[in-house]
Amino acid sequence: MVICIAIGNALRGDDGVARYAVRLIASSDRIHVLEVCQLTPELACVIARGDVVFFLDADPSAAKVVLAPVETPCGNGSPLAHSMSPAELVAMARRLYAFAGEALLCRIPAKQFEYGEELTPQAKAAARSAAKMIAEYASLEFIDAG
Amino acid sequence: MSERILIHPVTRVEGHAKISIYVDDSGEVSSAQFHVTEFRGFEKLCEGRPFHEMPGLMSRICGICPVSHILASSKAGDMLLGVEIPRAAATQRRLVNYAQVLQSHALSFFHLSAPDFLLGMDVAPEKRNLFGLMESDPDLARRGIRLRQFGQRVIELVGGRRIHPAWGTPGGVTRAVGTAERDEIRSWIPEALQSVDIALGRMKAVLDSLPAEVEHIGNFPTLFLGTVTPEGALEYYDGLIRIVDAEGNIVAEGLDPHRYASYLAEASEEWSFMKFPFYKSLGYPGGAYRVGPLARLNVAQSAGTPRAERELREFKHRGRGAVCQSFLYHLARLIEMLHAIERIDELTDDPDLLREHVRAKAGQNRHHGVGSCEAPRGVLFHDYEVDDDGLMCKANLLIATAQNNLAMNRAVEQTARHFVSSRSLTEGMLNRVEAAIRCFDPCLSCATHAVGHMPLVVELRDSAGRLLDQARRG
Repeated sequence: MVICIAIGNALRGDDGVARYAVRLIASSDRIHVLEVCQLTPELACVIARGDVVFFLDADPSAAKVVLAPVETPCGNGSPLAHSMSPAELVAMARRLYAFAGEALLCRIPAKQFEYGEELTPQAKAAARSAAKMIAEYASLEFIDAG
Repeated sequence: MSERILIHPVTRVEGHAKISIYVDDSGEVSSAQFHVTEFRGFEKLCEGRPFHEMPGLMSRICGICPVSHILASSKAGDMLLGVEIPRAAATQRRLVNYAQVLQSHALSFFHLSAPDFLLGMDVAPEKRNLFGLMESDPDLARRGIRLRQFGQRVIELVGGRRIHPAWGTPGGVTRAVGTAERDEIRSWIPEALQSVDIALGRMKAVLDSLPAEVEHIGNFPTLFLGTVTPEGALEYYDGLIRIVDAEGNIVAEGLDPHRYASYLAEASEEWSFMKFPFYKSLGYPGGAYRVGPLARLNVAQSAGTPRAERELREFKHRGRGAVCQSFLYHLARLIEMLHAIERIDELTDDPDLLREHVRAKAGQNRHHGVGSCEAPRGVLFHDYEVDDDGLMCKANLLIATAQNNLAMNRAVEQTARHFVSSRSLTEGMLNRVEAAIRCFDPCLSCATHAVGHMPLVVELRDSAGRLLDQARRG
């Protein structure tokens, strides 16, 4: 099972780019997609069912789409409030639910985070690259939205 | 020279805050303050919007307790319409409110606060967190996650999604519940009850090993305020307000939540964005009261469900009159989780839950509506005034966390006085001061909804009250 978790707020411009990206990957019985505003502890149970887990997130510091393994959190975790990082969530899934799959973070370049549901053309292009990259990596079908 | 010790940011609470501790010439703590440094503006931004939009808009105040805002807002809308909502809608609202209490308390207890008392107040902060708890007791950590997941799942099954469900509306709710959803909810009950039982056992054992924390972290007399049934039992959706004092005497009861402004008022202090509500009859700050799990268990004579009833009776023996130890908010939270699961179980047996008539339709019949319910952190009021076209003219939100503001400040000061010495500051000391705040599980996102131009001021004063330094923002 491939699990794709798109992180971001669709009402804050390019912050919703990950949600746009996952919709460019064709649905099938091999993929489970979640769209969330933030990562919360109960998602550990969900990702534990995956063979490969992709976290997709907008990143204003990224110059291009980057797909990289999720790093182990340093210092055994930070003070935890109600949201978590992909690394913390993966660590939790490995420790509590014996998650043994692969976890990757896809950072998608994003520039504009003002109120609104529109993505910038650059973010849309980056979303297509991200979706294509993930589809190729996991042997899924990419939907080219033009 | 007097000095100030600053804890900024306060960790493992929802939102952003800081604490200032003031020490005198001899190095003893003289006072302390809990500052809320977030600023939002929901009361202002809703003006001019149709009141039908309020449940959806107000739910955005918070991602942890959106259901509470949806319910209070929908109830204010019910009053503006002048309707009695269908029984199915009322049953759904009750069910989702219990689910909200469950998931929010699970987050507070297992993820935010349990590391303090299950791992130890003096353990290094990089270990004293959920990951540390996972290492020391993975089964309990898993159970905490599952309890929160259960609450979230009920909200999703009934409301359509876990966070900000577009479901509550003036006149009722927008969708019916089917048997498949009901049966899935039922299937979680046995595991959830077992998990809370285990956590209760652990918590009671831990309390015996933390006598100093129980005694000196926020242990003082105040009033307690909460909603009860007409018979005086625990109630979270629709009841009457009761106030008891530290001795457990009923100060006021049968108070109509719609008339909250006749017995509660709000003060402001220039050093916090959060208001300071108080009970009018005793003035400010003498009318300080606490709300939330501890207060609800203090005002209720009975729980109304068998397991929670047994726990409530035992709990009440921990106080002389009312239970005044704020540290016992954590235990109260677990008892409320038990009660919420029992009530969820009962409500899934209620045939009204499956009825398809879920919304009463009417035009606007009033210009003023007030809705209230018990949110996880305490009673919540939404007060709306609308014009002839149903557009919002004014909103006042009285939030649970703000109602605990006076008590939180007092708890910080008491804890600092007992545990903090400026001569040998340790992380454990400062953590206890933070823990005083975490007892109340404050949701600062909710509590700082008000708009205004109140600057944040941090003052440093000596033992004679002379101003030594001041920092101002805004």
